[in-house]
Amino acid sequence: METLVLFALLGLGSGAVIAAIALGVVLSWRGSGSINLAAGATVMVAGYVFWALRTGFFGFALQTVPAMILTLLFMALYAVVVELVAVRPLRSASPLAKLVASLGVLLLTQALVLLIFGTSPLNSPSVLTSDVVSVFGVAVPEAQFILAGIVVVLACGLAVVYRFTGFGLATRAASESESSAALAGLSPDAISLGNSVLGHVATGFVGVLAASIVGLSATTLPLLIIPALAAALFARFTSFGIACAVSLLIGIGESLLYQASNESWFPTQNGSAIPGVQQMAEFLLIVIALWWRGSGLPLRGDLVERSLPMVPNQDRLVVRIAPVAIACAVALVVLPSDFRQAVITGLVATILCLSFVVIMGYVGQLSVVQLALAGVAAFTLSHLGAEYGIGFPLGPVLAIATATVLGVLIGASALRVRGVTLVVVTLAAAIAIEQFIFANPDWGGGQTGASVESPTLFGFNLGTDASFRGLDGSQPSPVFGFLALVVTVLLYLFVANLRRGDLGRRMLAVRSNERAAAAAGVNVRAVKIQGFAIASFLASVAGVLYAYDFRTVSANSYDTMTALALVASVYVLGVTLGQGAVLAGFGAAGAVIPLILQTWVLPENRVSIYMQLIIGAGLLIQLRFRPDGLLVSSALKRERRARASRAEKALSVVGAKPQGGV
Amino acid sequence: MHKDVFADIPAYRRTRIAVAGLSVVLGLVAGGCADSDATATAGGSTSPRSSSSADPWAVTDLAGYTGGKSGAADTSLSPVKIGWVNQQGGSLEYPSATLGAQAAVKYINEKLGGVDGHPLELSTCYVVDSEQEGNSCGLKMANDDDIKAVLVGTLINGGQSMRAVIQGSKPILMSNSISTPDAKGKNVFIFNGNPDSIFGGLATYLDDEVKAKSVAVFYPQDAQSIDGVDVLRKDLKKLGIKLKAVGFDPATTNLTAAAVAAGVQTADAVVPLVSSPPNCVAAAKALESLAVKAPIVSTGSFCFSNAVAQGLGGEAPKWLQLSTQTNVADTTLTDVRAYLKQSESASLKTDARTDSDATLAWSLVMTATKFLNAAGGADATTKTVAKAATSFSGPMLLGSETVKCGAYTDQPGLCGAQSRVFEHTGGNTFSAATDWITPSGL
Repeated sequence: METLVLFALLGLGSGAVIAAIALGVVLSWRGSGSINLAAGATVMVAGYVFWALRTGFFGFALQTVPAMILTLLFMALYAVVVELVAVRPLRSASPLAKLVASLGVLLLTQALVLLIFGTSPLNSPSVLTSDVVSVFGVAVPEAQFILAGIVVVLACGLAVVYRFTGFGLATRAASESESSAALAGLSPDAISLGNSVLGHVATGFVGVLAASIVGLSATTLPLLIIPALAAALFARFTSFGIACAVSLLIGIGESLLYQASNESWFPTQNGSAIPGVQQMAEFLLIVIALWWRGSGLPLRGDLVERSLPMVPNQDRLVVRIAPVAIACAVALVVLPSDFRQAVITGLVATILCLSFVVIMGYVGQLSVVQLALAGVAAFTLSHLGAEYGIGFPLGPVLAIATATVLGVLIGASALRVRGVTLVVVTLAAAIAIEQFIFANPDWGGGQTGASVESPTLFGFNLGTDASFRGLDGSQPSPVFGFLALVVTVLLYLFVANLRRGDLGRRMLAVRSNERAAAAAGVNVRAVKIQGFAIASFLASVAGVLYAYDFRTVSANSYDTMTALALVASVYVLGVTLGQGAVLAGFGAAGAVIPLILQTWVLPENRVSIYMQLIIGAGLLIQLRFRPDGLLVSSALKRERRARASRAEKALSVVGAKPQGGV
Repeated sequence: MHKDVFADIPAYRRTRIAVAGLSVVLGLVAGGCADSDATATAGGSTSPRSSSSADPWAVTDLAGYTGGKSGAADTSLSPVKIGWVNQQGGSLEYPSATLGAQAAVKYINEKLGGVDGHPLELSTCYVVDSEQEGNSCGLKMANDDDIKAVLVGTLINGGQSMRAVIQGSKPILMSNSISTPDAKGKNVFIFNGNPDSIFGGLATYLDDEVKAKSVAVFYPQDAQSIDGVDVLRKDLKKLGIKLKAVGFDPATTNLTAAAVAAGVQTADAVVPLVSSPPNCVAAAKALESLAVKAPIVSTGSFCFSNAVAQGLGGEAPKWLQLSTQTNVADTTLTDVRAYLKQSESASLKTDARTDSDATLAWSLVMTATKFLNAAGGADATTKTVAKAATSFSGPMLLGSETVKCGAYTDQPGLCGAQSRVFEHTGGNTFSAATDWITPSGL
């Protein structure tokens, strides 16, 4: 019993940091109706600013109190900027767009912090005491208890403010019905701004305190959003008390898990505790929360109509695709080795991005588990070959089937969830897969990644090391490039035709309004499952091709931040259009656009950070000025012009003239 | 407020001297190696040393080591090219390694006559964090016929995909490897150590020097660390030492609970098996806050880097370091003094000069130049370079005396397997706490 109490107390520190982020998520939802994926980054920003002010990074060093005050003022200013750039312009946007905007803020903020402060962790000057207290004979830092206490007080304070003050009442009114609140003389914009400032300042305050205990790192702090989202989900994104309590319980659970991992009953592998149990538990916790708490988030009565990106028709496919395919085929032969490889990687990444087009663009579900599913397929392919001798073509078929089934299961677990809440489930699923499967020495890639044999058929090598080489006579062989090209073109045609077919129309109906679709006789659940199946299939095909491309599979290529960046880049370019997937694919890591930037534009050793910066900024700019996506906007313009032209022709046939404008 | 975690060290030192004295006698009797005060005995016990600066074989003369001639290279001659692959540009990066390699090339071209009079040239390629970049680097190295050898700096990710492309067509020279499979690769030469040799050395040290009966380990649950714990568990088990290991999520920021669960407050020795700067910082903060009294031993140089020191307010943790190379913060060593002077003249900045990644890179480039000169200078081929690497028997610049490729049949690429413990005494000052240790279990 003593041990349980001890580890429960030891978990309070971690739980407090998670709670601070969860409170930020709740505040953001209450204020603007958006799930703030950047709440973890808020903690990071506050910590770094405080560090800079205390240590003289800006040329002057301040004492703790003035540094804290200036940091909190900066956080208020930061909140205003985020509100003006990423929240207010999206008032008319769909919840999906708001969520993606917070993703843009996350990517942009993290990239800026890495560029300004460097990639090394920093030591934030101590704010809380460094004394220890003896608990059952074990020295435990007092600061953890103090931090937990501060977070509990903060949660109670926020609950009181939102229950008993005019500001809280106004916020609740706006979250119930923005139009009614506006009629009552309240400004939803001002309310949203007030909540945003409060959220950033409160989260930032705890962030500064926490940073002195856990250190500052631009890579670890933003990822604490995952358990924070789980806690916020339990709280239905509205209850400060529940969010705080569940966060502390998650911290306690994590601590107890450490202790449990040494018990004889804990599942082990080669003598060590199985990795990823904590992440798997968090994922299951989220699924349970969704089933227990109902069908997702409370709906907001927004003042303005929500809209999803338009889905243009995709006609004249052969005319559009043929030149690009021919250009790729020629490039695979004539381009030098590095660009040839980049083209192949771009083609494979295109398939992965097509899966986002299906699940996000057509069905309207924001799923970030696609990259993890690609990883599952790739690891399965490797293990089938290495351990069971199953090679091409049966190996990839089984690998694709396995990952597709897993994708469908994850989708099925979230059937009660609509739209943006799904991101929480899929994000947790992606991390659970990453930690539970990929990090496992037997199931994953081990120390250096799992090797993959080149595909061969009837004695012909179809891999990147095939004997037929490009004009420069070097690797990779264009043969694998041709294989990737053929598969990409076929799947592109499939996805484009899906939009025009019956299933595509049902998907769009579900995307527009699930209840209306159900009323019209569409089986919403079946459509969602089919959407998940198709998207998972596409991601799995990409995973298999990735494995063949690099002849090795390791967890690093399938991590969560990479997945988020990929989602963002597809959304920037056009998540409802195949062309968007193509451009996003060629902008993915290792593909043509990063290679061009690396070769001629950006410093070679900072390409990935700059790419993240470009994607994050591009996302915010696009959502502001081209909310449908860059390519989608162009396609819609063309579509409108073509429609007008057809109408003009029709009118000229009957001898009439078009009158006025619309 | 907290008790100095190294309060017990003097006792260990006394023990070490006694053990060292005994080992000398045993070594001389068993091996008959009266002409050398070097390193280890077959059983994995450490040899004594009366003074850490008394390495008679320590390399200080770079012209003699590389086979070069004093003076500058002839810039009118065609350059001799070697590849350089390093991990940098992402959140986990080791840019000092590249600085060290570039400084070494500068020194060779300005002071050592290049390679047979030809300027030495680095063809660089960076892995950010994924196999895509490893693949690209492999292609770049494999497809450039002028590259005679591929040198790997500090590389955590992407090594497998790089080797999958190179496929043994060129010798891959590494200082350290973070994964055992590297040593099984074709045409791979590892001169300082890999997980098997490092954890074997650690087990030997914990048994012989610390006399530990129980060891607490906490580690991030990534593939490398999990495999590392597995190796350490087996090695410690052979020596009858109990291991309590607790894994944590690599993204966790607070490691206090994990450390307590691992038993850091009761174990005879603590091994924070961490390598990324955020994890090192978190581990150091947790162990400091828990006022751990047992010796804390960290493998490799990861947690003693400038990045970690920055994360801890300017100074790396005051732990013991089990290193596969000479720690250049121990300025009592003659080769260290020579290195600091030479690298300074090559304009290597102070911060980078004392960074272990830069030191490893400096040593590796010098060693590669030695192979190039021995393999025919500008006429060297990938085959002759590989042959020169295979026949290299040490001593390694800023490393151990003994190098022998093919000594371990299971891991033919592992040429150097010895390690040494240094003590961080504060103020970024280290001192050698042992002589070179030959690992048990290999």
